[in-house]
Amino acid sequence: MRERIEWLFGVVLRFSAAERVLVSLSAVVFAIFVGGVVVLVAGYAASCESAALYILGAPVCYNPVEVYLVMLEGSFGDSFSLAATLQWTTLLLFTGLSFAIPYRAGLFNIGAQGQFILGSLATTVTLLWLADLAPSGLAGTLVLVPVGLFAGTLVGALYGLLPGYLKVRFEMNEVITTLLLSFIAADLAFVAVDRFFTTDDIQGTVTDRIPEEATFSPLVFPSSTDFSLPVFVFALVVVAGCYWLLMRTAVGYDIRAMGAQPKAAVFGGASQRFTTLFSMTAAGAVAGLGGAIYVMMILGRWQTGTPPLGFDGIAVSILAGNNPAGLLPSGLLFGALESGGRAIQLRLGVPSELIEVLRGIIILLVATPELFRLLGAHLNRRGIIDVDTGGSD
Amino acid sequence: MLRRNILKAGAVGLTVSVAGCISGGDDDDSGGGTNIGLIYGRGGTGDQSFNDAAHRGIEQAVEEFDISYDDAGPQSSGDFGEFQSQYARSTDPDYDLVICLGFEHVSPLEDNADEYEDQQWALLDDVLDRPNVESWVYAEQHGAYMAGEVAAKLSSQEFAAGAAETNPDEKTLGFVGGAEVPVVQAFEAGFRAGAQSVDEEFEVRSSYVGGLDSPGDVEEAAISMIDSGADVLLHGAGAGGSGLFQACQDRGRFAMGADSRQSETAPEFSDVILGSIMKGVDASVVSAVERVIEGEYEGGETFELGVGEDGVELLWGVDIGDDIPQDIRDGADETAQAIADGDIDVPRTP
Repeated sequence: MRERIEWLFGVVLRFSAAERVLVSLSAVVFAIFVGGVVVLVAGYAASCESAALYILGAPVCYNPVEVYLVMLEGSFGDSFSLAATLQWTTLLLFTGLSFAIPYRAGLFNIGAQGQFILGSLATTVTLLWLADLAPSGLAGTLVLVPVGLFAGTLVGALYGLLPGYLKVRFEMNEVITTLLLSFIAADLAFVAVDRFFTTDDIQGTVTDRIPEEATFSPLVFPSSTDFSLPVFVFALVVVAGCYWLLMRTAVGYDIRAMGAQPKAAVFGGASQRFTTLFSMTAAGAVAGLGGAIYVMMILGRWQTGTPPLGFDGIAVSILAGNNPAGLLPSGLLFGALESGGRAIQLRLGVPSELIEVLRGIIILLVATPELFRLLGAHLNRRGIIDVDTGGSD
Repeated sequence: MLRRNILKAGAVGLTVSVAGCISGGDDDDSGGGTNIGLIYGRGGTGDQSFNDAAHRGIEQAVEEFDISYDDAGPQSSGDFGEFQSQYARSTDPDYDLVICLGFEHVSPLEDNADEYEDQQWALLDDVLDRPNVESWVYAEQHGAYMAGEVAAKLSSQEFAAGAAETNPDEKTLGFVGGAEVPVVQAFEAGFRAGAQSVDEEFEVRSSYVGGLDSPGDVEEAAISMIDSGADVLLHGAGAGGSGLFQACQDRGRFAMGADSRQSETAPEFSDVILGSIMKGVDASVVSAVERVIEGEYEGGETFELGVGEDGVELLWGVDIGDDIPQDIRDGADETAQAIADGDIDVPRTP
């Protein structure tokens, strides 16, 4: 039994990069198949006026092939759909990074959501405060955009530093603190806006609009979309920068060493204190930057009901093998699931709950091999199993 | 409902043969009728309240007129604008009217109404001043006033029905709201004015939990009000209202619901629900659709529907409504008439 488990982990752990990509791709295909079966079965159970297709004479409300075609069309079919997909992808790149960086240092940042929310609020408040002081026109843009981005980044960074500090100083588990700090952030932002920054113009817990100069307008895409191509390029640059930081710098080497073999890293001269504080702060900073972009590119103000981008970022990062280089394809998949999910809800009347199920299946099946591999690597490192990994980590 | 379908789907899952003969289906193509897009508030259908009332309205409109509709439930702040613009730019079908439910639509609709100026919009439960937006609001305070009056009269006497009883020693009532916004505050204002029209000394405790989907917080607020003497409680907390019913049921006090006939939509609590304040959300959906069909759509207009216009009414609970003394029920009808005639002026802000 034990040999068989070790053999299984050994197979998984000896996968080359190309084989891992292949595994992920076949997982996607399998997930699409299983999802299709679920759609079919749900369509059989649901009641509707006119059936989408008939199986053995039984009416079925949703046709899985049609569902997937509409999903594909709704995520890449025209410039509007593509904008919706890339918009979500852009934000997921930031929250994905926010999980990937600390992961490399052996830390779990479950708190990107809170860092994202507080970052978005900081950006909004700063820009509202500067609205009357800043010049208008291009000069205003040149001032407001960097300041807005910086405010979100700074507050996000501080909110990421906090659990890092709690870990270093009081040995508090960062999984617990980051998760709980997420909820605190959401409620804090709510109270702050409700009490101090609420607008008189419209109802709800909503701030005033940030100045027009600080918003990113769609450049190549239709004017009614909320997606700006330069921002996407900027996100890619940030991802590339983080890749460079992790893979090509001394700090990055320390971080990776700490994640792989803490004792050896400390023996080699790396400071656990420093890598913890640094990676958590960096994680908070990128999540906060994502929050800033959410406000400046999409909403134009702060409003309750922030989407769970921070939590989705965890799945995006795991699917990417926690490697910044994998974030783009993984983020694209999740962005497409989001926009495609909206499309099937609007066009086919498929209930949003079923879309969640479909998304969950895809995430589960795609991420499982990667999780299995991570588990194997962990057990092997701890010496619980003994596998020859063939040199890769 | 949807959720139940999916569970059912899981149960029958293995019995369906996938490899069976699959024949292509036809799209629901109902010819040249009017097409309506309906975008719910956050939470979507299944709230047994506001969104479900709109869903009933559109289903009723389907029966009455030759229309077909599509609906969508936003889940986060980013979804409102996205759904609005998707409906507006859709050409297959081309939507003759897009109905937006609730105040969270206002911010993105400010942009989309300008962006898609040929699209006819209807905004329910809030006002937006755009030439292509028809706004529908309800005089919630009218219904709340009637509820407050009934609550105060009952609270002043010994009264027991279903699983609850009053406490004549205390002149205290309670109100738990969702978001602290004008449409919800109108409930509080009307409820208090109604209670104090019976006896000046009535105190209405109030609390706002911040959102329309948090039953736990509502329950907590309701419990603390009941413990400090409140014996009839009203909620304006959307899907969170079930928390208030739970608190009342656990402690044997009365509750009043909002937005739907909640003794029917939440039957497990019907032994404590005296009545529900109905906003005419379904009626206004039907009217909005009818105006488009009749060519009477008036963008830029705001319609305020009070008790006189079927915008608000107080419906007695299906289980214990009959136990309320007849003179109190008649009194409520007289009050409704007086409000409709303008003899009673009900405040909208607390």
